[in-house]
Amino acid sequence: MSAAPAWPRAVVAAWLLALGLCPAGATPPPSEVSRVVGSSIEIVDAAGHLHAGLGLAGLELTLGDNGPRLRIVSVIDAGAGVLLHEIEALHPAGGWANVCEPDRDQRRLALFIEGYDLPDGRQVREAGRVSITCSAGVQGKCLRAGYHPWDESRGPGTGQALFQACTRMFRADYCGDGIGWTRNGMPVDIFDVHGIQQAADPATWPLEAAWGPDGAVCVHHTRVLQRGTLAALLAHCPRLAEPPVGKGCTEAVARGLPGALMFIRSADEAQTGR
Amino acid sequence: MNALAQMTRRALAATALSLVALSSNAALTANALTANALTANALTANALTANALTANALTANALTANALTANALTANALTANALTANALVSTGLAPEVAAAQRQLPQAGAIASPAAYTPSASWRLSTIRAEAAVPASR
Repeated sequence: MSAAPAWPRAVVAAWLLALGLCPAGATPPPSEVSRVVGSSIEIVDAAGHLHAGLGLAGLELTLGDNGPRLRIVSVIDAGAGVLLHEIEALHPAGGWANVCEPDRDQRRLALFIEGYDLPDGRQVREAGRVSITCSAGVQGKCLRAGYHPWDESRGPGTGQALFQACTRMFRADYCGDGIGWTRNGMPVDIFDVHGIQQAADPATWPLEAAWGPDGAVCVHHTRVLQRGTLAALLAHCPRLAEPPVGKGCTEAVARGLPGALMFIRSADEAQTGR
Repeated sequence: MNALAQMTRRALAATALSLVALSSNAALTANALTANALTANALTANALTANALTANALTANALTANALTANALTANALTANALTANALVSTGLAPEVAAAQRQLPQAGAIASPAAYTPSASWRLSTIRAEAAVPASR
């Protein structure tokens, strides 16, 4: 058994089972998460069986040595590689509770995303690492809107760039530094260069800003005047003061800017007097 | 000849009766068809009502699991508060699970500061899984 650490746990366990070294009825060694696929994970159990997709329901996960203990209650296939998981955590005081805050539809569903993200809002894809997010979070919203970091059908890295641009856009993280300049519940209209989301026609509001993975590439107006005026934003983020800016940042102009992947329209509070 | 005349008269009378019967059947058939047509119309109306209800039900549940595919989420579905509620909530994870504890912004509140909170993440090699209930395979 001294050589066991050098072998994958599942392989060792399978050998032990095959050799009859595990007594019948004994709890088998725990399984391991093998990889992240879409918004879900795949698990190989001690006998070498693959648990994935809807088959994850009924599994319990222990995250790290002292991390939370979770159980996957159910899995919903939302299509296009997006799986939504109802996950509960074992509370230290006892009892299980859903890990997610309710989203706008009062659903509490979790998603797995390959990699991790940083305080400045950057998302790093890294095989062998997984983060958990919820349908109520901005990442969940972007996945539901069709921006999938794993989708490279439009070229290498395009899915990740769109996903990153989407999270910047929803949070009004103009500068790409992790600071959001909006508040919850602001109505918007979003669209992108690939037609994954299409603009409302006719337009209800003017363009607010065009977006890339590092934040806005041009800003017409800030989404919430009370949160900050355009002048305040430009003082905070000098790179955005480069033209086009303000009235010069129209949809026609923004579509031609390098790095512009997504666009958002919103009410111009400075014009409407709100 | 008398016998032949009688047979002819009987045959003619029978034919007349048959014609009356046919007329009666035709009328009945026409009535039945009209009734069926009414029924069909009624069914159509009901079907339309059912469809209208279905459409309404779909609208109400526009973001159910089936409607969550990229194609189902049209631009119209995304406008007007559809996806902006809790826009500042980075992860949506309950605080006890999130790696960093923080106070979630309240709906409608000015988000200041609105710093990004990274999702909790783990290395796959540190995650252990086991069946919570016997697998029903």
